[in-house]
Amino acid sequence: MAREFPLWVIVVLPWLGALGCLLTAWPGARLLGSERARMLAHYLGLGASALAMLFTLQAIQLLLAPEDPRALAHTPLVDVIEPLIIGDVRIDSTLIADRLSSSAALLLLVVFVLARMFVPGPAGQRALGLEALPQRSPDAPPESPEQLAEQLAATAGGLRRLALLGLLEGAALLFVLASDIGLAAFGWAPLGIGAVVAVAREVGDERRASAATRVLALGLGADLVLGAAAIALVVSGIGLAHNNLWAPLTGDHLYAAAIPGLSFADLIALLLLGAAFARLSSLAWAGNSLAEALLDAVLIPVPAVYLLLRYLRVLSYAPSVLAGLLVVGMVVALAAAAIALVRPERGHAKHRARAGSEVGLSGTGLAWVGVLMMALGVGAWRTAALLLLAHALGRLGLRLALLIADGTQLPSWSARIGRILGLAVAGVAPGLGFVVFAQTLVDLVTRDSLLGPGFGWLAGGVMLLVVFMHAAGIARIWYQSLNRQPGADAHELEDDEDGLDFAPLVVLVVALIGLGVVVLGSWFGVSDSPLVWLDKVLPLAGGHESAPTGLRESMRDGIEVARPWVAGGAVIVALVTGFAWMWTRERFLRAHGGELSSYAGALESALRWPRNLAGSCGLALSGLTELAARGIGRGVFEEGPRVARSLARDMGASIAPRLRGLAPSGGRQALLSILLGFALVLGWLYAKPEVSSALPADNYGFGGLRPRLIRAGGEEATAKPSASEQPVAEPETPVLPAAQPRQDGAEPPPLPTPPELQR
Amino acid sequence: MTLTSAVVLLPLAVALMVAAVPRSEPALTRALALLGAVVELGLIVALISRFEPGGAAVQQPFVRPWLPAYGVEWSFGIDGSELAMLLLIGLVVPLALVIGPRPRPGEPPLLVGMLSLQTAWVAVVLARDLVTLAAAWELAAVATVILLGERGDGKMGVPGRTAAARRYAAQVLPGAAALVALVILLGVAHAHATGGVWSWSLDALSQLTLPPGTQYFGFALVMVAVATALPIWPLHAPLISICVTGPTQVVAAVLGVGGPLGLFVLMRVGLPMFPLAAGEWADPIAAVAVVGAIYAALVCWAEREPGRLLGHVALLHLSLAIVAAVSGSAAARVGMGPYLLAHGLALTVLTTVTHSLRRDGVGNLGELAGWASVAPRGLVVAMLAGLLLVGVPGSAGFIGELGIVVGVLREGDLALLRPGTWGLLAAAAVGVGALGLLRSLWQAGRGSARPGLVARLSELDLRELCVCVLALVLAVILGVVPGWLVRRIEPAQRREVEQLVLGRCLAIEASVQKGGHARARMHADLVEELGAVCLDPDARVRQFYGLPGDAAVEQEGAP
Repeated sequence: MAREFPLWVIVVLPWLGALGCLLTAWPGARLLGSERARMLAHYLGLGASALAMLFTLQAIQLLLAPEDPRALAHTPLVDVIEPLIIGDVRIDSTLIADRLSSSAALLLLVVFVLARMFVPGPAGQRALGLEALPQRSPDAPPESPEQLAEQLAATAGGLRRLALLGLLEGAALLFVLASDIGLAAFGWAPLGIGAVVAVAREVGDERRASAATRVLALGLGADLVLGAAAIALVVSGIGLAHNNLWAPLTGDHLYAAAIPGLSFADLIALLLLGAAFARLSSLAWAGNSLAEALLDAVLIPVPAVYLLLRYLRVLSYAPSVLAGLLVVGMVVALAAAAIALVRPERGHAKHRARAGSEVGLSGTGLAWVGVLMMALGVGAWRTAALLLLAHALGRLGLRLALLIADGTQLPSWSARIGRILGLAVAGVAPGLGFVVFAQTLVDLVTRDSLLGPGFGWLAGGVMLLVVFMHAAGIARIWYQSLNRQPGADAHELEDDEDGLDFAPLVVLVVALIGLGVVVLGSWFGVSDSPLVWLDKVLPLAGGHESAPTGLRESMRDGIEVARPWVAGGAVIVALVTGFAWMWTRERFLRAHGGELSSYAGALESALRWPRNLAGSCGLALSGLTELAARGIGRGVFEEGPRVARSLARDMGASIAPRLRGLAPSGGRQALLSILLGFALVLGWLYAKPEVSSALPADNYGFGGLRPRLIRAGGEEATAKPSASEQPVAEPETPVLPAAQPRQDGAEPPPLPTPPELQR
Repeated sequence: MTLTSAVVLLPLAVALMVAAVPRSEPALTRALALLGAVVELGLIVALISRFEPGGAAVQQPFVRPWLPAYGVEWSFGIDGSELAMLLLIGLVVPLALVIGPRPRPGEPPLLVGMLSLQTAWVAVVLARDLVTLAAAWELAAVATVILLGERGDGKMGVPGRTAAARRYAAQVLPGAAALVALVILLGVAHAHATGGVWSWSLDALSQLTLPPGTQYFGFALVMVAVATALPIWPLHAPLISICVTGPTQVVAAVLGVGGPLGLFVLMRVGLPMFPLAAGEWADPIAAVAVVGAIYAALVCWAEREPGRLLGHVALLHLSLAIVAAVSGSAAARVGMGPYLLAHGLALTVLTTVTHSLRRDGVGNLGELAGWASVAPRGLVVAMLAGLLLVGVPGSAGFIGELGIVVGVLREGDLALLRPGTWGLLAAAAVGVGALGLLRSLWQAGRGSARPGLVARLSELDLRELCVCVLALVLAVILGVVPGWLVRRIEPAQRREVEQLVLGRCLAIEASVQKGGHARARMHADLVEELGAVCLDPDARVRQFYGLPGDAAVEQEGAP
């Protein structure tokens, strides 16, 4: 039994804030004016998020109580909202907070509070499409009705975007706090749809629409795959509730074969990974607005990673799937990091071309996804959690900096802080980015997998390459999109600094550096890791009985990795990221980076064939659908009968004169018809004499009258003759009825032996 | 008069009132018809609320003799299995009455027809007597054909509408004739089995055990009767034609209710009366449904004509329900409730939007680049309806689809040899096809408006927008709190499935022990005659067909 705690409040608060913002957008702007309506909406949203965060902190405080290890749960309106039960499917409205889910909720809310602090500043307003209102002097002429209407429309549009953020925040919280995957899906789906709306931004923007199309496809694909995973969980016998994962028979259920050659563990793991990474890959098309910043930082990654960590028991029972994930992760990380650094030129002339910084952002984001895959591929659950934390803080900071710069450059103080932020995100020591890269490298080298130790070293090498290119990609973003360009006047931007823009960046930098130092200290026993309280729910080892995940014997010291390996890994990563930053600086600050064009060409040609293959597959599928729609649909089912009818009519017209010559006269026709009719009726009666009466004639000794006698009370009189109709003696060899053939063509089962034969 | 009879007769009474209003007052007639349909919905909700899941098998009975000499009765009542269908009729008909062109003079015949159709449909659903059911079905078939041809070809008519209605009639009316033949077959069989007692009560007829040959013949008649209404591939072509040319209100009603009603008749008459044939033909039917689903899914990716797209979406979405219906799984049958409600509501929305495009002369979605910038409401509601069909979590479609697929996979192995194959393929096809629909809509909506589109395209008016929003909200409510309905449906569906398996087992026993001399018998007589058989019908059926899971019977039979 869990302890009661009002967890639904955490989910509902952001929704209420969003709803208030949505409903009051238009009337509020009319009654209070645009400026006040904006402020009201901002503080409504900020208050809701902050209050939800306080509730989450209180829940964590309760979970930390050593005397009571139970989780927290909340089922609202028990008498009104019944659990939905259809067969083996059971979905109820209970939310549960344990260490994992409350951590995920806290991360979401912290990032949202920071983002909402950023919203009232000039950059935040710009990001929402709310241009700063002009300062009006008392003697200025009143605004025209057209200007007022324009302001109102802009305000309402911006507030709707703000409301969308609140709705998505609540959906993400619902996903992480739900007690079963069925209820979680109620939060998962709106996130996908919200991502489409956020990426599309405005109706009529062809470039964004193109990106949103892909996000739509991936989002819906992720929904379907998650639904399939839920079905597989129910069919396997585990059920939808998260708690069932730790039931006694779950291991047996997971080992059972789902289809020949694939256990339920493999199938469910594949589906969960498919859902999570389909959703994560939609980040590749995110641009740079406030909503997309939040999508990239937390709204997409936190639910996806939480889903995988929540089902880590299933994943650890599928070592072959994990091995495949490791390989795919290596390819994805390498390709994405290379794209982030080199930024292939193809498509820049097209209408859907993306800005260079967007390509860099997407590439580095996908590289992170690849690194996450690699970490999960070796069963490093704690590293995956750390990667998520670093990603959420780092990406938010990077994207906020880009929003502040707004395509030009950062103001002075923001630039100073932004540089530190960039270094921390790129993985330069001692930021959190550095720590997670080093941790991942160490895990790849020191953990077991089905692919063997040699592959671990290969993965480590790939990881170093990815680390280099990722750091260089971030550095390129910094030097090309954020840093003051050579020759710019250092003083002209001093006045543009705004505390509301600047403060969230400072908080994020302090968090990234502080957490990095703390984790670094924890490696050497100086301090506890910030995620130490997740150790109970994220095991170091375990899983499949024949291929357990865990640390290799030769590299262990106690239950953890030997310190020399950790220190060595950290030093290498520090050197690589530091070198990458300096290398990029030389190319993009001192020069124009033109020497990368040869790499761009090489990458372009390498990417051409998978692109061509995808294009060919698309073309083939398109042909198939066209064939179905035009060839079969219209041709066979609609035009076909019409053509057949015309043909029949033409043939009939051609042979009608000849038939007319052969036809008998009217009298003969009548006679023939009558004879034919008689023959038909008599033949039918001969074949089935019982049809002459509606009453049964066979097996009744009175020509069908017996039932009437029975109803008249003649049972006794008719019972004896009925008995006498039984055979006097049984035949010597009773004829057994023929066995029914089976539908699958196999031998029919033996028929039950009659008691006579048994005797 | 009970609530049941009131539910049946109210639309008819409103139809008579509407018919009495002058044709020159179209707004008044439509308002009156809408009011009647809303009151009908209230009665239906009251009827469902009063249903006690643990109470009598048939509740709110209304029985009056019709042709006493032949045992025909006006018999209505509810047993729980029809509640979702009843709610579907109650929801879709008022919504359908509101959409379409604005009220115009001369409209009353359409409204009278729609209300008559509602009467017939409600009677089909509530009938407890086969003759009553068949009569209502025939009435519905005729009314549908007449309504589909309303304002057909001619100077003022819609080109192609008459031809489409004729084609629809050419397939529906033979089905109606097949139902008449079925009625005779079952009535005579009952008389044979009972020694001359005429009864057409569905409860009595479901207690019949017919010989295998009669079962195959009877089940074939049922399939002929419902195949076009369902629609089932490859007999779906007339449905596509009417989606392109038919009147908006009628198309919405036929797609939203007509198809599910065909499925209902299959489950109410076809399966319990002919359990042996239903079990043995379940796989071929499921295979045909899956082929239809895959075909429709492919078409949904390529078709640009809005009406055809609509028809194929209906074909696609019902395919999974057909698999659920023949799977013999109680959970899948329960899941069909929310699923069909999502089907009806989503197709009403899609019909509204596609026919609004038709009114603007749009025959190709490819012409609509930039639809969202000109008429965003229509696009948004159509896409939300698409999400409803794909089974987005939080909607009735999600709960229904989850229940169906899990039910077919977990419990469908008694009726289907390959429940996993058919269930998963159908569900995957529904997902892929709905994605195709969404992609077509998205491609039409994205980007800046094509020149001239602003002048050509009109936005959904407030009336139609309200209908669409209401339909979508209802689908979400039914998806979030479906317990109110599901709790009432489940016991009846479990009972029906148990009866189905028992009937199948008895038919097997009768055919095995009587060989070719089996004849129609009542269950009770057969049990008395054959002794203690079918104590565990599920295991016996498994043993007979050599299906996995018959270990218990093998152990019992072992010396």
